[in-house]
Amino acid sequence: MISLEKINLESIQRKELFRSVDMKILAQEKVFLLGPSGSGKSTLLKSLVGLAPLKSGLVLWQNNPVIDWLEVRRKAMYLSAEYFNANVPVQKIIEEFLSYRLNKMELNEYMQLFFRNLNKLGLSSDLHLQSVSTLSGGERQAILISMGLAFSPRLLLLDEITSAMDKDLAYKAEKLLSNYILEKSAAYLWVTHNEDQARRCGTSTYKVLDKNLIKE
Amino acid sequence: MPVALAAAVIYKLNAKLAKTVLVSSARTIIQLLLLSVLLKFIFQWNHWLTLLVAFSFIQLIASFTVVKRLDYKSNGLWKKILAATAGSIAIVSAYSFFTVFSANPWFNVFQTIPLIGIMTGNSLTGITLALNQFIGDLQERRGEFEVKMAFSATPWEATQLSFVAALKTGLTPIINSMMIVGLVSIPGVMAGQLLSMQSPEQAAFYQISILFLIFSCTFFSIFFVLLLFFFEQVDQQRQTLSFMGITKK
Repeated sequence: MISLEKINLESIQRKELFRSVDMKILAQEKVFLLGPSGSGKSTLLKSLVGLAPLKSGLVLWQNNPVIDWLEVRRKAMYLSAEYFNANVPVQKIIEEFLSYRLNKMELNEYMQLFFRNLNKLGLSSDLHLQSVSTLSGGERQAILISMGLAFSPRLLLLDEITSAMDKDLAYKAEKLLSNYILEKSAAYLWVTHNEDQARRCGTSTYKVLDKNLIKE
Repeated sequence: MPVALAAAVIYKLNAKLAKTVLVSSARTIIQLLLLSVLLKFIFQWNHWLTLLVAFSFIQLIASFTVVKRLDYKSNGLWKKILAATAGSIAIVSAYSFFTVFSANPWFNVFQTIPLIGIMTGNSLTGITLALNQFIGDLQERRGEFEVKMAFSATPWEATQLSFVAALKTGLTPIINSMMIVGLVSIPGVMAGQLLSMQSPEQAAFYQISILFLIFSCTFFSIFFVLLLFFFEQVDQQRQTLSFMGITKK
């Protein structure tokens, strides 16, 4: 689905993060990425959809070098709840997202998928009327997953997306994501600090070592 | 005399404030006297070249003033401000020279230079407010823009709300003064005309024209400077915002 060839990455402060990283993710794969904080895992995820610049190297989407990054972002979704915050109801944010030119979904159709995901996570449907800033960290992450999946991406780039959830909610989220991968023949690359989670759900695990990725 | 009296009272209350009052009064006298000398000097040559030189000078000073007043630094910002304000003011004032104020000849420096001065001076506040807010958003709310782009927003779609909010902030002072003009105070141009014994109708007509001119050139200069800044932030290859080259002062 997506492959990385000789990727070199730098932080905004020009610190070297990764040197010559190669990686390949196939459909149905559930890949975990573990590594110390500040090692550049988030930047790596972002660079796969063009949200962070590559210093050099190639990202191949379905064996072709990426030319249209907007198109890639429609199919590969980067999800991080870190900056998912605003003083407006979730519903408003959804309406804004659906107003983007590239998102050609009807509101009704989208909301059905969104609510279905929320219910599978055991959360109440009227959460979407609440302002994002009043939600807990775990709820925000759950909402973001539900929103992301409703756009039916082929690849999910998950950035510590269950870190603020309680055990039960995190478990439900893992199950929802696993089922999604199976149903849609999709894939995910999941950055986490939770090794148990990687062992429990992953088909493969990479660790950051010496500015490169080592497969376990 | 009234200023001196006020300064004396203030001195009793707060010596430091009194000093500020005296300095500002002195600056008012010196700056305006200098301006009158300068204008007298300039007005000797009623030529389009004089207009051009004065126009360029005013715009340059204005751009650097805005850059100095901003909370953020960004490379080559003064060039964008210069391009946006000079462009907008040239077009708006050219329109006004040929219509409302029917300057004769078209470059008549007695009319055109004061007009350009009024427009530039009033646009400055708006541009400063708007740019400060827009650059600040791009610097401090980067994460939010990235969430939007992760959900397939184009760079323009991701920044649109901030762009409009910054435009609104920049226009607020002039909109406010258009709202209350004549209700609370008699504005400068009109007061000036009345004091020099012009008819109230004519004074009002000039004041209306001036306010509309100020509004339009404030709007266009803010709009273009934000647009120039936005385009610099777009990474065409990745179709994202680059967030490059902005630092807080």
